Amino acid sequence: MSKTLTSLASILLLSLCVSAFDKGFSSCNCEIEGFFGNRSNVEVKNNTLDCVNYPSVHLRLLLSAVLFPATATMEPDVSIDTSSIIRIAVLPIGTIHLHLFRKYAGMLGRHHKIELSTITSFYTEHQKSPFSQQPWESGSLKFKFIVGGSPPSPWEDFQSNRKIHGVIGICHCPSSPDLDSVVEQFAAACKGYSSSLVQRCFAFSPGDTQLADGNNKGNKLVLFPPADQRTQEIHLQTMMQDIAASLLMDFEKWVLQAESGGTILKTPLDSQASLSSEEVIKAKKRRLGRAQKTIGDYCLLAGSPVDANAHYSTALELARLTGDYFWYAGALEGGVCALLMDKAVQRDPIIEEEVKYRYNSVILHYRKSFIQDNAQRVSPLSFELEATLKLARFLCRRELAKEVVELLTSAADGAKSLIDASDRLILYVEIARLYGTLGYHRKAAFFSRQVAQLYLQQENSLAAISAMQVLALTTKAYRVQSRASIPKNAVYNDIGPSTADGGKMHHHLVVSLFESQWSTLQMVVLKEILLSAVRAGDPLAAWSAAARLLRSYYPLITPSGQNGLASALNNSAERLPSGTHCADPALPFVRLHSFPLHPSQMDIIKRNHGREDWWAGSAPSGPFIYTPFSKGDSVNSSKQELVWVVGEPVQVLVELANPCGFDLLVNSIYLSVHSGNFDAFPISVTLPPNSSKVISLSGIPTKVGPVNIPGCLVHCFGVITEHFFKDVDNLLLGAAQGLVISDPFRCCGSGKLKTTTVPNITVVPSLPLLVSHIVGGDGAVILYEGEIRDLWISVANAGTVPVEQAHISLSGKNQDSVISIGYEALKSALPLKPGAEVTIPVTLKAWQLGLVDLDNIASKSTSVKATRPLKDASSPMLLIHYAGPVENHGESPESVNALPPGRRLVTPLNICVLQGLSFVKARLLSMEIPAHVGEITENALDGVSADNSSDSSRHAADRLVKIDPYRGSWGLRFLELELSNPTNVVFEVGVSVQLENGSIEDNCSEFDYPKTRIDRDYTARVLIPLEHFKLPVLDGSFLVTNSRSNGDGGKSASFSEKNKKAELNASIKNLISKIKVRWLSGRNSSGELHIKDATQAALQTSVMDVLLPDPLTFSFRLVKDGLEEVEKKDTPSKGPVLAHDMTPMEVLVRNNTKDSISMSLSITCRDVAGENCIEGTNSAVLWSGALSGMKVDVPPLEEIKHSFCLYFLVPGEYTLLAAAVIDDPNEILRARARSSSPDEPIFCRGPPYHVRVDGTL
Amino acid sequence: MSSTACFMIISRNDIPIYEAEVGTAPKKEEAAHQHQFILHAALDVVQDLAWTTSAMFLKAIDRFNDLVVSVYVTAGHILLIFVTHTRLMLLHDSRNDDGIKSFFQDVHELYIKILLNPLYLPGSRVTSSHFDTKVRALARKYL
Amino acid sequence: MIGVGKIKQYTNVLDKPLSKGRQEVSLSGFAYLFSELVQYNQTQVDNIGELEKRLEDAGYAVGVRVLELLCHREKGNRRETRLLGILSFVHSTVWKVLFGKVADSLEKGTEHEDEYMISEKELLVNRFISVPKDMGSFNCGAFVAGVVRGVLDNAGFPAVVTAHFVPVDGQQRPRTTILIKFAEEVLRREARLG
Repeated sequence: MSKTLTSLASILLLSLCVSAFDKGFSSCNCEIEGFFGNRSNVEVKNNTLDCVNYPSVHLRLLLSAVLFPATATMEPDVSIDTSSIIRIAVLPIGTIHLHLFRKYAGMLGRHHKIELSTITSFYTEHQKSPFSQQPWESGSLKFKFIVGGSPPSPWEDFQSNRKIHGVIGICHCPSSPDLDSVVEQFAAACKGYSSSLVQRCFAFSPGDTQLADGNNKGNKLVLFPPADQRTQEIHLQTMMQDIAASLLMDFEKWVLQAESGGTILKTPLDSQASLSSEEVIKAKKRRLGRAQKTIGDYCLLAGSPVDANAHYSTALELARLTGDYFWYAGALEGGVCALLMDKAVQRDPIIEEEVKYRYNSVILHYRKSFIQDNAQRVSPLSFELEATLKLARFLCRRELAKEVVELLTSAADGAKSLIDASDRLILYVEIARLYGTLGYHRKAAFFSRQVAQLYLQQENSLAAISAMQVLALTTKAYRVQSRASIPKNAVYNDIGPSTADGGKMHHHLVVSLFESQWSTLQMVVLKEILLSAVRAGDPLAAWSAAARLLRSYYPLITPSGQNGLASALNNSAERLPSGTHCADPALPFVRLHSFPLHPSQMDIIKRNHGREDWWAGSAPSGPFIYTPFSKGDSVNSSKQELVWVVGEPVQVLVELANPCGFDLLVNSIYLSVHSGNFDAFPISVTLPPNSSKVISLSGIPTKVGPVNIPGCLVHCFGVITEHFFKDVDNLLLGAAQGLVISDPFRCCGSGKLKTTTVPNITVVPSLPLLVSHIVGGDGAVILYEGEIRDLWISVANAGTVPVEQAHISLSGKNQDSVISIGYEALKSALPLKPGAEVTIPVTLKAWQLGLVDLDNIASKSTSVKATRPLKDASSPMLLIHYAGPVENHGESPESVNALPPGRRLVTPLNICVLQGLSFVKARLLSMEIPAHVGEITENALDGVSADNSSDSSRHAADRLVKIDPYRGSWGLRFLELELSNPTNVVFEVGVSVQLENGSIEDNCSEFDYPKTRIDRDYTARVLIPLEHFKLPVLDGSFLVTNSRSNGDGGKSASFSEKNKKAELNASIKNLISKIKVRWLSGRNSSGELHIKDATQAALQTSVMDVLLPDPLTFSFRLVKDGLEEVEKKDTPSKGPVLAHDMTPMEVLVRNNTKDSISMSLSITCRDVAGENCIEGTNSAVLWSGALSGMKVDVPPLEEIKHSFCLYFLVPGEYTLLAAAVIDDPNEILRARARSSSPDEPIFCRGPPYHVRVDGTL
Repeated sequence: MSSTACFMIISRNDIPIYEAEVGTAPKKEEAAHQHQFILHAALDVVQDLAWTTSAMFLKAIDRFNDLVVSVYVTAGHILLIFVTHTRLMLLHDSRNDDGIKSFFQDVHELYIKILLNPLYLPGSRVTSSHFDTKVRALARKYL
Repeated sequence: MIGVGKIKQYTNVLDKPLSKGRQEVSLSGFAYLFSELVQYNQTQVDNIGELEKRLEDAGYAVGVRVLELLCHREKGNRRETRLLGILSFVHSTVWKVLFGKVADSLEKGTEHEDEYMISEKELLVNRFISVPKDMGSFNCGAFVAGVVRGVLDNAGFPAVVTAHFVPVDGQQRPRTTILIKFAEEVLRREARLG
């Protein structure tokens, strides 16, 4: 029995395949009967395994090498014209290998139809042919080769076409040399077929000896001399025609004797009991009708429908009279067949109606002929169903779907009352096939599953194999098909019309992609497949079924069930050869996480032929190497470009999820690359239950060209599977739409990740690779604020290609802190051979710490290591763009035309700026130093540079603070800088001032003040005299602007005033820039203090006083009588002033303004006590000449002398003071004097002059 | 007489969006499977039949053994499919046709209410527990 | 909330009876809502095509529901299985419920068999809308097109539906034509049904 069932699988398989591929049935008729004789069963059994491993129609056929059991009444693949087909058994004779036998049988199969016209030559009419109406030119004989033969059916009498009318033996001479034994074996084989009229044994490719003695073995043995295909074909055809002819003649013989002789035709329906009298009479009455029917059958077989029709009609008459409904129905069937044979034109609606009508009555009469008493043994029901199927097959067209469905439904109803299980099986198979041709794939799948269940009802591997194969066919309808069964191109083409509507197409797409909608059914089907595969001993199929089950439906499976599946996977894997591939992925779920961008050391810049400076613009702006924005769009841009370099390892991040309740051990997982220019490195990972994990898969590009990474290859549960990223993406899409049972990553607690698409990856030929390190200091360069330091960056080419171009640029914060870069050092080193190294000097000047940094410092200095580098964000970066040779000596042609890209090396100069000598504040001090009349300078000197000990600097000091009596305002101003040293080293501070005097040669000569030493944690003050910054002329311009800025006039500043202000600021700037404060730290590092803004702030208030001269300057001098002032000047320190002596003096008044000033000059003399010695009661000084209220006019930039004499009565210290009240002063003077009210007099006084008066000797 | 019945709502793209085993018979796992298999197979018949009539209720369009499939095709081609035991049908045939029909109509109305909810994505599963309880109540009422 | 009249509070939407569809909403309210819809979508797209697509999808969602509701409420649970039937359903029933009037005209495309046009002199959604020059042929009728597509598609007549402005001589405002192009499968089925 089991054999039977197995055999049917092949039919169903073929038919469904056929219907699926919309081929006609006739095309595979001859193939379907692929049943071998018993003796080939052995081979079948041991072929089982590899058959399943490499499933193909033929091998499936081979699987089903069994016989029909006698019990089976129904036959597969019945159609209306079945009753006109002559059956010929094809048997293997002698030892013959299967595939040879199949080959020969296949050759036979092509001759399943022999035209009558072709056989006339073989046909000899012995006596008057009963087939009077035989259509010799149009008609034909149809054959059906039953490979392997079949036992006689009990219904042979009823339907003569069930008889085996011929036997053809096939033997392969080389494998069976003894022809005699062949003949014997053939004769033995033919014994089984009593009904056979013609027997032939075809012996292929005989040897010469066999040829020699073969010919006298009688006509049964036919030798096919070895020849080419065509000749053999022709030979075979003639043989077949011969057979056809002899069959025809035998039919005639049979019919003639049937008409005459009286054989009682019986069917199992007729009671087998000993014929009681009335039985005999009944039989006798019915005999004629049945005989007529049988003759009709033979007419059909002989291909003469008209004769058949005649006989059938008489048979109908007789059968109706005798109430022999069964045979009546049979005759009707034959009639229909005859009708169709006669009217070759098939789809004539009238004929169709006729056929429908007749067949309905056929079915009716079969039903009528149901006899109660032997119902449990045998019933005509199977014939009724066959008739139904025949009609259904006849009508099977889309337009008539409704009727066909009705027929098939009623047929299906009949199934449960069928006695024989195999009958039911055949019924379902046929129904499934018909639904398949109708395009009702779900119906077909349903009945196929019924078939599979029937198979599964008995416990043996062959049946299980069939069940498995049948179920495999249903998977498409249930949307659980294995990837292996889906053609590569047509994976996602079943979206259907939903693509028409764009808006929800997305949605539909998801729906059609995700398959666990009919989850209940799908799980059942998969479980059945698993069961049958296990039973059939097909580990691969079992594995794939379990994998599909586990992957798609884990949420619906209990943890124990999941464990069961896992163990099923492992068990079946044990029975598989190691390294087996399976199309269906199991766990884990793999999704693309991200492509980590190139490390900043080696990122790649496109370069184009056009521009020489390809690096321009490619340099990242801002403190980050990758600004968050660029990163952002690199993620969400649909297709991002990625460049990999041959021979440089890359990595890809993927996320794995194990939503199941067991520990998942992934033996190895690595990127699957179809472009084959990439070596992936497998890694192994273990996922705990309900967990997900991001891992990085790495590999090395090997060849230039594009790389596509559709997914990962995973070796898990002992089988290698490919996991496509696309699938998981669709899954997640479905989850988002709420169509999916659950999101494996979500339920593993992994965050929601926007799906990253695989970018277009191109591999470029190997590029140079520069690596850099800072010579000496590995990490941060520690500098004090303003410290200047050289450092050397060594750049080495670690790649395999020389660097031919290179360009250095800066980026990041504090770029200005890099004073100089040794470009030429790099340039000169080009081309930089692989392995070569070059050092680039870089000069740094530490920047000023911002407040934040200061805080950092503070916090750091409190912490143990104060010298830890600050965050690199603040330090600049050195970008080196470099590239290899322009034309790579092409290892691959397509990359020659494309310019290989350049690269960028980013070296962050991480500078740690420590707070150095810190500038506290700057103040402006002003002091009055009295000058002596006479030895002015000397005294002045002592007054000013008291701290100046060195003689060498005397002269300079003299120059610095020389008293120019003409300009000499003694109101000296000093810039006081207060510096503190928080560090732990000693600083030496030196102030230097740029001087320019009138003379050109010593213009902007520097003068260095003596150094000031500042110990750690001390503060010190440095004084900077602000003399000789004065402008020669008191020019109105500044004052105007000044007054404006004072804001008494609300007018908007005109342009001229603007640029005057600019001038002013410029002059202030230059004043400030002249002052430099350099320091030298204890760690013999030197630097400069940034004090500009501080000093500016300090000076801002009194800048006027510093810059501008007084409008009037006064000075006194002695006049020795008879001498010019000239020589007087030469010897400034000469002869003291004596008491009791008339001392001529003169006061010099200089006008520093641009317009003449008229004033009233007055001179006073005070003694030590400050008493006025000229007026007053006890005047100790007598004078001659005007001393007060003398009106003088001073022309612009001129000076006037006013002489007078003093007579000192008492020796001692006296002070001379000159003062003037300016009449009607102009605005400038007012502004200078900062007098608010116009009427207030402007009062100018000169500096005090000391006079020492000695006593008379 | 125990009646088993399986009720499903199938979306336009032949995907079940709601399924319920109604009926008084004790729940049997494989019975449920069988019902769903039959319904799934019946879709083929429906897809042709639905275009031949403008009526929404198509009674007994398909059967397997003694299970009969009745369908209610809404305007949006949402199928309310229903499979019951023939015996139950045979017992009170006419009246129960009306019962099934009115059952379908009421469920249809419920479905429309669900559909009108703007937060319900047409074609996705109906997960409302209210819907479920109401459907079962209707089943008890009419079947 | 402000109860207008007496609003019965239902615990669940399923308990609430289906509305009879008699009451109307204020046009200005609708116009405001629609303008918000358009503005929002405008922020989400970067070209006119996408904008129309989004409006169409919004309409589609309406169409799906309208079809079910109206076939149940207005047509007494009869499905439309024929092309003309569904078209007239859209043209009259749907239009009446949505816009309070039957569409101005329903014509068959002259050059193509599978094209039908529903024209509206003053489409409700376009009443307060004037499209700036730089937006070219953009038409907010895309929303209505979406509704139509939603109805047709779910009734089993997949079609491509687009909204166009058609200038009418004698009037400064063009009228809106909704062009329906059915998928060939629909026509094939029509042929089969005869």
